[in-house]
Amino acid sequence: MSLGAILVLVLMVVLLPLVLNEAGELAPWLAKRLLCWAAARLGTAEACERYGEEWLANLDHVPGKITKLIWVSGLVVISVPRLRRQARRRQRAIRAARGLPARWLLPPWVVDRPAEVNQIVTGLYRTADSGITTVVHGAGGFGKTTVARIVGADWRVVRRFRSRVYWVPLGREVGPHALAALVSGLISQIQPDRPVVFTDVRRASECLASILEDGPRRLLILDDVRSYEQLAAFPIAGRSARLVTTRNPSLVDGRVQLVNIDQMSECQARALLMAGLPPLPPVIAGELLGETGRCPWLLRKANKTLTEQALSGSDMVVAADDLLGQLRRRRR
Amino acid sequence: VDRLSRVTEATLDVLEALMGPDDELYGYKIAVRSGRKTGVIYPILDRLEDAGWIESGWEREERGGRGPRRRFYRLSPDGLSAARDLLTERRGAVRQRGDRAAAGARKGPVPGHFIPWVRR
Repeated sequence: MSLGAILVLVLMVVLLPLVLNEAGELAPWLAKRLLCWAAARLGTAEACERYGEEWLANLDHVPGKITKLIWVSGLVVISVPRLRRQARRRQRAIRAARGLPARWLLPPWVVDRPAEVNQIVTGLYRTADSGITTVVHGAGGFGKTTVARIVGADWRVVRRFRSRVYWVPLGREVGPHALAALVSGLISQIQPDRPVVFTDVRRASECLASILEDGPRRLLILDDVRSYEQLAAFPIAGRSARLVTTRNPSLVDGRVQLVNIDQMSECQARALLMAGLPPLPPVIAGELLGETGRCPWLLRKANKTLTEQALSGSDMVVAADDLLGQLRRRRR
Repeated sequence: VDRLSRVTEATLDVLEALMGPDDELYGYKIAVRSGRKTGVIYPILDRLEDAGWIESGWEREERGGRGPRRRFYRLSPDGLSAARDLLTERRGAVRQRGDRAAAGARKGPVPGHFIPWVRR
């Protein structure tokens, strides 16, 4: 046997197990050090303290020695960047919410409608630079305005438009004069240092278009648009986007994204009906949901009635039964 | 509870793992039950806790204050009904994960069971 072969044999038989054994002994220590380092990278002292201790306690339950090191590596590579990102996002949302006007704050009974909101927000992200109008349509009482308010307060929208989100309440009563005042008000809101007052809608909307044309990304939420004139008063220009709530989607032409708001899901409807109330027998709650047709407006009315009864100390089952009777009579 | 901005398959797995009767679920155990890597679990738990779906608390100092404490996670009362609704909506039913872990039907090894030479 040559000297080289003997050397290889010695290395394989003696040194390699020794090295592996040392590595095995070293791995848990290294894992702990790496864990502490990872926790310190989380950004805040609170997170560092919490996850540092939590992860160390978890490490004791991870079997093996090298496995511990692999487990910690997983935390370092996957958890730490994501947790940091989430913490930063949360901080941004808190900062944005602090600067948000009071009208965007939603009452506690509002139930989220994630499918519709996500569809709108995704659309706004895709199209905010290309002047597309998002039309939120559906029958009255199905929550178009509430969905628009949720979108306006959504942190993704706040971030996308850097808090430049403007709410314009329209409706059946808003005629040409009121319209000119609304456009002037919006311009003054966009440019608080240069307030303007227009009496002519056409001139006001031209002024608005020129401001939007050159400005940064802005979102105009036009609530309850009833006529083409109302829509035309708030033109889309530059990098701005429009979100329109209306019962009549055919009013909007051009590049449009349509989002239909229909009845709530059963889970959402139940949450709205029972907001702030003690539990009701499932049969009565189910019948109430059925009678309201899961229409948010009716559900909110039912919730308000039941809340009043609960506050006055009435028996909730009797109150719910009475309400059920009223809803049935109303339908007939 | 707040709306979850993103619901992934891993989020659903974690919610399923939390649905079981065990009230001493900590990060590693949840990872084992959900069949997901621990690295993925913590950001999900963080999001769920932030949205009010779950609550967490330190384990009691029953070991004389020696060593780091585990942090236990459980669904909040509102989170429980929201999770049940979400799982029913996305997966048709809520699968019980607790039994699955106990039976060893999972991706990772069971400490001290599958690898007999592991010291516990």
